[in-house]
Amino acid sequence: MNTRRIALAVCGLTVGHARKARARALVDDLSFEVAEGEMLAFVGESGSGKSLTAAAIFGLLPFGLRRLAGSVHLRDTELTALSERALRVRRGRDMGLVFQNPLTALNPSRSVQAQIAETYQVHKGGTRGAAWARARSLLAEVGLASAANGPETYPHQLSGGMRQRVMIAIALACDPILLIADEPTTALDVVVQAQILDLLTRLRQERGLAVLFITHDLALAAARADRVLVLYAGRAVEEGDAARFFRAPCHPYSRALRDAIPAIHGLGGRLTEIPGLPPGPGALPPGCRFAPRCPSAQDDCHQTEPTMRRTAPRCACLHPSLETP
Amino acid sequence: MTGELRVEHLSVEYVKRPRLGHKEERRHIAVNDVSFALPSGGTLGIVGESGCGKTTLGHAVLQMTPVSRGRILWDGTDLTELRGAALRPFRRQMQLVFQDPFEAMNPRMTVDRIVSEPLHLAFGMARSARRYKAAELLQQVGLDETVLSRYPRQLSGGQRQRVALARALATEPRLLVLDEPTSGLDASLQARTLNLLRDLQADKGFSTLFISHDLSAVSYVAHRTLVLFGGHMMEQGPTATLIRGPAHPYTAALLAAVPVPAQGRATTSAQNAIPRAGQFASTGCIYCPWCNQAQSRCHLDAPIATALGGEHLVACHYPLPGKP
Repeated sequence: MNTRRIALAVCGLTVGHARKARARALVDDLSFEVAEGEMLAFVGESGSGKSLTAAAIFGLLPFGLRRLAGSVHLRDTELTALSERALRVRRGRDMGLVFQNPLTALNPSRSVQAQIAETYQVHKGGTRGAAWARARSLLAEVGLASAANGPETYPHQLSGGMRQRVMIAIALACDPILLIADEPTTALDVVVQAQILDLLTRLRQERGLAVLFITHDLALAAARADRVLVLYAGRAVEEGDAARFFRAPCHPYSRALRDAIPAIHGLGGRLTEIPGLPPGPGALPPGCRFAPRCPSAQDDCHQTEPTMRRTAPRCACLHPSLETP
Repeated sequence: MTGELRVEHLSVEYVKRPRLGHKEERRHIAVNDVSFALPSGGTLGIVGESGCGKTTLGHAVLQMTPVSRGRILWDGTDLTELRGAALRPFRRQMQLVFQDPFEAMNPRMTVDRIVSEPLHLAFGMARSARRYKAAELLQQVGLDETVLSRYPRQLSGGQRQRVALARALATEPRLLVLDEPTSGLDASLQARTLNLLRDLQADKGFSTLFISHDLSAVSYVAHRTLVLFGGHMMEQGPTATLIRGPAHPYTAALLAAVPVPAQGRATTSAQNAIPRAGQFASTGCIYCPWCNQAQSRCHLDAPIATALGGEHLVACHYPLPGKP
């Protein structure tokens, strides 16, 4: 895996309010890398900063928020140094984005073929005919044969899973380096979810596509991704190989997340809840951010903020569980 | 009043008006000949893909959609024969919790009004008593009185789901139909909601129809599970039996689609690629075009549900050998 090229490298990314310099950062000093053909899963509760990180990579932060520090490298290009105009060329061409709800992301009054062709033509130019041919071949690639060979198809004629396939086809139109999938299967049932993830896996293998997969479903992330990064209140708390991570999470928060999922083959036992809620903006506890909800917090946890361990298993905890699986 | 639900040969059919220039009306059979029994205090999980008829089945039980054939027996009374005022006392005993609680609440009503409205409608309770009762209901679902004066948009997803649950509990129902109650929640909120449901059920003794596509959530709450495909019952039985040894190839395929992290990442792939159920077979088993065990007989005559020992029913000519 080390021989593969790094597609995306994020270093020290910090996102916060543009005006209120003292308010807490919503994404705090986040660093990670995604190699070509690799899938990195971002896991965390709602509000942990997963989607905000994706927005910061794309330079699409909501009004009022700003990147305060850090760099984002896509292959060799430093994205944060680009002008808005130069960045717009990169978006859609070098990096694609798939949202949770494809129906709001697609234009209801234009055919899906036209929407894919438009993306291609805007970035790569060429004739309309060539763009349409490209659109049809992409639709075939994502497994929508009827739209690939048949008449023009509109979003309302498609099911949720098919719409998500169209979103992926649009994201792939210009052979991107990176695909960010933000909760792409949350609205879909298990069977369609498995199909969409099969598709993403195939695209990674065939095209060497790097995928940043944002989800709150830890089981899904552990089953399908190569590596997992757990976010809590804007900070990375654990990072590691997906299979190892699920067997032996070393951060108490990761363990709590894992134990909150009902295991399909382990009938019975009561689910472990995580007490309380993640800290809101401006209400960060001193010391470790997870300490107030942590079942194994000790005195020093409430005073010292832990840093990420440099050696594997990488986690940010003063008292990690380091048992070997 | 025990609160036992029996559904016998229930079918729900939607008739579309004939298209211009066409004579025949088009029919869509959403639920086809489904039978089950839900004892008082029990939980039945209904699982299947989107579009398999699980929500329609739930609505039909609550008499929210017209039933074409079959009977719905509630303590021996056939609900399908009742209309209007005669049905009202029964409606009070059955409540529904929707998948998206935000969509199901009036955005201009405070939580206080949302939760106390059924108290007014069902019991004609006075305003002061309603407020007191609403606070008590919220306390039961783990919310404090401060949310009473808030609007739905001011609540988090987990809080909204609890308010929806409190509203459903207001009329002291004997049956709760939960339509995908946790699919919009993240892992820790889902755990909290599922635990809450278990506790409330143990406390109040209502029965539950738990509709979901999430087999792991169903396995956690449901004593029995019914698997639907294209409106047909494929298999039903005790949840543990079904998950350990699925007898129907479709149940096995559904189980294979559930991500299982403990076994590494190679477990889920091609074998679970189930095509969308757009066009069903007109004769024979409805699942046979997608079934990898299908034989010539499956294409010709439709299997009837047969018992595989005990309460385990399967509608398949060649059921998989169950594990002991």
